[in-house]
Amino acid sequence: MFSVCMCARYQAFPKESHLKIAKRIFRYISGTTNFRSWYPKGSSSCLVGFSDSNFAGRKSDRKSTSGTCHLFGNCLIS
Amino acid sequence: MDENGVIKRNKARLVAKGYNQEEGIDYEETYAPISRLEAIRLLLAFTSCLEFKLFQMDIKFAFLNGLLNEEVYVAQPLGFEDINYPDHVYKLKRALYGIKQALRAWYERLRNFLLEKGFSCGNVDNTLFSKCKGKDILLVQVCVDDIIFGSTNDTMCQEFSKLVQGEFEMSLMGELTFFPGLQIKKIRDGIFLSQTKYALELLKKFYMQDCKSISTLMASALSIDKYESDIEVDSKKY
Repeated sequence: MFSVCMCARYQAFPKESHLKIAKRIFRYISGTTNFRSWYPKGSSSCLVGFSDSNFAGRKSDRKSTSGTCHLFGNCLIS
Repeated sequence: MDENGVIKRNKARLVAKGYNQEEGIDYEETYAPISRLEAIRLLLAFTSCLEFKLFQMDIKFAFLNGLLNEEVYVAQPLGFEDINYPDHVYKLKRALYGIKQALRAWYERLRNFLLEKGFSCGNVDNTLFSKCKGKDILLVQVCVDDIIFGSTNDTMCQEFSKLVQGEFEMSLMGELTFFPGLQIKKIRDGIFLSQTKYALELLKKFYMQDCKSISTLMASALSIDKYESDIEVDSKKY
């Protein structure tokens, strides 16, 4: 998700290196086509969220990166 | 198309030229909520937690059910003009595919119908409707013309499908197995979610199905911006 968004930002004026990075995403997808998310039955119903952020981490424009994930019981939601 | 890519039926429909519409005259509000993938996953997680089944149904010609608030006229379709009145236009009473407010009209119609029948609309997610009856709960998630519903009580499910069948023309697809891009596989003690078919189609579209796979998405410590001096490519080529 992050890498796709990252690539999309450069699509207005793409360079060859950007396409190489996009191609790498496809190669990753081809290796993960059989990955699945597993929602077991009868898990507990508590909502847990995790987050991680890297403030002003990007070298070029000092932008921050952050990511979150949420679990409902044992199921990954977002 | 079903989850294995086998064509079940072909469709043809009358479509209006929505791009000729002007704001303020032909339409006022076009926003309509669409359920997010997270909401659907949350619903799936909730059902697996409470151990009840989800069903899916599809409203036939959903947009044609929407009622219009504005006056909209369409020209007669090419090749199907009335011989006696070739210059006349049609006034629309209901929404048509291609009209800008079709989605909104349909959503409003469905929402009003469900609210009338005693459902309550979600405060945060406007596409989730619920109905409580004693200890049992009936959840309905609307995604344009696909409706996913499930209940802790089987009779409530049947009642709901009858209710909708009475109001709209629809096809009941049975248990939830395939939802835009998501394959849902049920086994004895849980649910598997996968996007195998979508991923394979994507690879096929870009002729990448035979490429070597790689374990990471991006090289770490890589800065995209550094390549400013790089070769330019033709952005229209792809």
